[in-house]
Amino acid sequence: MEHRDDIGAKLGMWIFIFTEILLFGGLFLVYAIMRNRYSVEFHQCAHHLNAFIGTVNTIALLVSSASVAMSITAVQKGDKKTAVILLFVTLLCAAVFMVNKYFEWGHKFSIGLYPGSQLMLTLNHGSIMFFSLYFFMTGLHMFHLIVGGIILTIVAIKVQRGAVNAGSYVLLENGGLYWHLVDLIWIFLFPLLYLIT
Amino acid sequence: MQTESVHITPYRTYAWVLIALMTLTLITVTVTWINLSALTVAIALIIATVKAYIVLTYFMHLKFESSLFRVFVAMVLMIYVLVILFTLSDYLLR
Amino acid sequence: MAAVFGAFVLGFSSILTGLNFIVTMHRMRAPGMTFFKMPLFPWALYATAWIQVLATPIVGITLLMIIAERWLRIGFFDPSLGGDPILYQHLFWIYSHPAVYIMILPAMGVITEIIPTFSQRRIFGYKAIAISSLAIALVGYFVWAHHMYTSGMSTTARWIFSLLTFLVAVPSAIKVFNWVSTMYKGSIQMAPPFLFAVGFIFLFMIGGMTGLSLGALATNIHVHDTAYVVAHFHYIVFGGVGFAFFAAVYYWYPKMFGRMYNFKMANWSFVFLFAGFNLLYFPQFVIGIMGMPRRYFDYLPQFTFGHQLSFFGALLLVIGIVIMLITLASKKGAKAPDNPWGGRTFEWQIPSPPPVENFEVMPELKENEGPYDYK
Ligand SMILES: [Cu+2]
Repeated sequence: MEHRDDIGAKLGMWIFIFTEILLFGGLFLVYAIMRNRYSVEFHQCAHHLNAFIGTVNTIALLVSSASVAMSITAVQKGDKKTAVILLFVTLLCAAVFMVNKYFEWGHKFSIGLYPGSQLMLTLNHGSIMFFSLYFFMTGLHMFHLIVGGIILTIVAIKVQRGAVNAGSYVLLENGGLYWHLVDLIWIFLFPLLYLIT
Repeated sequence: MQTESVHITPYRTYAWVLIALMTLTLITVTVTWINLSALTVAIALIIATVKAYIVLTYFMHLKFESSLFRVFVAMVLMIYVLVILFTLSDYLLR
Repeated sequence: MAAVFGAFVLGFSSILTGLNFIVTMHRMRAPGMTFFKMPLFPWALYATAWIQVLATPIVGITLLMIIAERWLRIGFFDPSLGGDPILYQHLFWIYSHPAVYIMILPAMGVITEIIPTFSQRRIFGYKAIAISSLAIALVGYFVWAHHMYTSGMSTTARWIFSLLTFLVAVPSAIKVFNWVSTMYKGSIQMAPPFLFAVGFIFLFMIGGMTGLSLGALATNIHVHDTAYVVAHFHYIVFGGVGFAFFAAVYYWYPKMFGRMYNFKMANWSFVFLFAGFNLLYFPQFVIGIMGMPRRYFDYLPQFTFGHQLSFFGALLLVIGIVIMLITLASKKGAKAPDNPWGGRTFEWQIPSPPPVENFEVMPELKENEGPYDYK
C-alpha cells in the first residue's frame, strides 16, 4: 500500500509557512525601525499611495481567500464543478490585484519614482526609505502572489482531472494555506503602507 | 492515517467570515479619515491583528486541526514578537 | 551578488532539512516510541531543526535586502540613503548566533549517545537533557546582540542581552553535569569514541566558561575583537563540534562501513589532536587578554612566544588529522559485528553495514523499555 500522511503533509506546509512569516517578519522589523526614525516623512509619503486602489486590492484578496476555503468544502462534498469555479474566482481576484498593482506601479514609474531613479535619490532620507520599503515589500508580496497563483492553477487542473478528490485533497488544502498566507501578509502591509496618513 | 474524522466547514461560515473581514477593512479605512494622531497606527494594527486571527482560525482551519498546530503557531508568533521587542529595546532606548 | 544569492539558496536547504526532521519526528517514530522514549540524539536534532526553520528566514530576507541594495539602490543598510548599518548587524546576528547552536546541539546529541554506551549505564537525567536541548534552542534565539556590545547599542539592550546570554549557560551546564554523572559507577570502556567524547566535555567546558566571561559586559568590552574571542570560538566550534564529529565518526564508522578500524592508531590520533588543539588555542586566551587583536597577521614582540606555541600546536593538530584520515581510510580492519559497542539504540540491532531499507521488520519499543536500558 502506498504510504500517505495528510497530517504530516499539512504539518510540513505549516512549518514552511512559519519560515515565510519570519521572512516577512524581518522586513516588518526593518519597517518598524525606519518608521520610528522617519515618522514624519512616512506620514507625508503615505499620501502618495492611493488608498482606494489599496482597499480594492484588499477586498479582492479577501474574496479570493474565501473562495479558496470554500473550494475545499466543495471538494469534500465531491462537487467538482463548484470547486473548479471557486478556484477560478480566486485566480480572477488575483488577476484583479495584479492589474491594479500594474497601474499603481506603472504610474509611479512614469513620474520617475522607482528604486535607484534620479528622482528617488533627490528625496530626503525618510522618503527614500518609505518608497524603498514600499517597492520591496509589495514586490516580494507580489512574487508570492504569482507563485501562489501558479500553485492554485496546477491544483485547479488536478481537481478538474479528478486527481484531487473527496478522498485525497491535501494538495488543495496546502495550496489554500499558501494562498491564505499571501492574504495574511497583505492584511498587515495594507494599513502599514497605505493608511498611515 | 485516514481515520481522523473530516471536518467540513459549511459555505455559510465562510460567507460570514468574509463579511466580517470586509467590515473590518472598511472600518480601518474610515478610521484613517478621523485624525487620532498617535492612536491611528495602534488602531490599524489592532484591526489587522483581529483580521489575521480570523484568517488563521477559519480560513486556515486552525480551529479544526489538532492542538499541536495551534501550539506551534502560538510559539512562532511569540518568538517573533520577542525578537521585535528585544530589537526595539535597543532602538527605542538609545 | 551571485555569492549572496548562492547563500540564499543554501538557506533553503537548511530550512528544508529542518522541516523534514520535524515532520519525520512527529509522524514517523517507531511503534511504542513516544517522544520521551526517543534517543537523545534525535531530541537534539529536533531542537536544531526548529532553529533552522525559525532563524534561517531572517538571514534569507537580509540577503535579499543586500541584493536589493547592490542592484536597485534600495539601501536599507546604507547611511547615505538613510539606512542603518547597525540594523544589518542585528539581522545578521539574529540568524548567526542561533547558527552556532545549529552546530553545537547535534554535537551534544552525539556525546549523549556515546557516554551511556561506553559507560554501560543508563543516561542520567534523560528528561533534563531532552528539555535542555529545547531550552538552549529557545533561549539561544534571544542572545544575538551579545556580539554587538561595542556597536553603540542602548545600555538597556546591552544588559538584557548579557542576562539572556548567562541564561543559556544553565541548560548547557545541565547537560555537562548529566554526562559526567552518567559515567559515575559505570563500567567504562576506553575506546576511541569515548576518548573523543570526554575530550569534548573538557574542551566544551573551557569554551563555555570563557563564553560567560565574554557575555559579561565589562570583560567583553576589554577583550572585544582580540584573540581571546578567537580562542573561545574555537574551543566551542572545533573543540566542541569538531571533536564530537570525530567521536561520531569513530562511533558509527563500524555501522556505516561494516569494518572496524585500528584502535591504537585512533588513540594516537586523539592524543595528537587533543594536545595540538590545546597548544594551538590556549595561548590565544592569554595573548588575547594581553591585547593581541584578532584578524592581524603581524604582532608586537611580546606576543611572539604565544604565537610560536600556537604554531607548534597547529602542526600537532595537522598530524593528528592525518593519522585519523589514514586510520579511517585503511581497508585492513576486521569485519565489524552488528553491535561492537554494546549499544542499545535501534541502529545496533541491524547488520553492519545496514541493508537497504534498514529494518526488515518494523522495530518496536515495548511498554517498559527505554532507549538506554543498560544493566
Ligand atoms: Cu553568539
